[in-house]
Amino acid sequence: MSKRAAENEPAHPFTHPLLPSPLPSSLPQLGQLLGVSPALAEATAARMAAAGRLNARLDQVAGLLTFTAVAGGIGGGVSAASAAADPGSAAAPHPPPGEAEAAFEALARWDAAIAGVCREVEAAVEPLTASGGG
Amino acid sequence: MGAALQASAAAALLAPPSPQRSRVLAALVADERTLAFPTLREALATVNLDRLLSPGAVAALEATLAPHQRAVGGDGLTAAGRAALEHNLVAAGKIYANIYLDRVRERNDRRRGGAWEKQ
Repeated sequence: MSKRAAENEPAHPFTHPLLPSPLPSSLPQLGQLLGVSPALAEATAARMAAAGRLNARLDQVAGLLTFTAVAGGIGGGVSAASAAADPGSAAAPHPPPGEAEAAFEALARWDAAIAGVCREVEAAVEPLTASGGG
Repeated sequence: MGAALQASAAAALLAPPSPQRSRVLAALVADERTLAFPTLREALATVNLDRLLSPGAVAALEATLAPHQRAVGGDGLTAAGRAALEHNLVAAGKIYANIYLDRVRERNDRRRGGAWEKQ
């Protein structure tokens, strides 16, 4: 616990209450947890972390996968790439630049607009299929 | 009529984790018509809540997929297997702060006094 605080890493909301002080013996093994071979689990974790799709650091010497705090959700912003480039530094979550935030909002609006169109098409098709017996 | 909904649920489940996928999943879970497909519904709820997908759930999900979605890729995994693996990695990150990569190194760590001391 104190180690986490010393690293200045915000504790994850789910990790915190569930595992106040995880003992080494209570840590599961990744491959076993995921139901695949350790090599495949490690390769997948490495690929996802490198692509910024998994907020984690891979320590192959210690054989540990350390999950870092989630800053902006999955694949959130640039923090993953810079953390991968410099694994030694504590992965402080960067606030996403305003530009990325605006793009994300535009994307969310776009998705909402598509969902709206889909709902209207659905509302039009449903009575048709109900009456036509299609 | 449910075919399109079923296809969209399957596609959302097979997609790699992303914010867009999370939004689609949330929309599908909120749509009560997905209750007509119990297997897909269960997988949707599990994935939407960032819970671990069990191998049994993955096998059940796989049985509902189209043949081309069941093809085995170069890494020896099916699309469902790969999606479940990637999802479970993200989900594991919500449960654990860190995790051992394999048994051998876990045993070595224990002999040396545990992983936490070394951080």
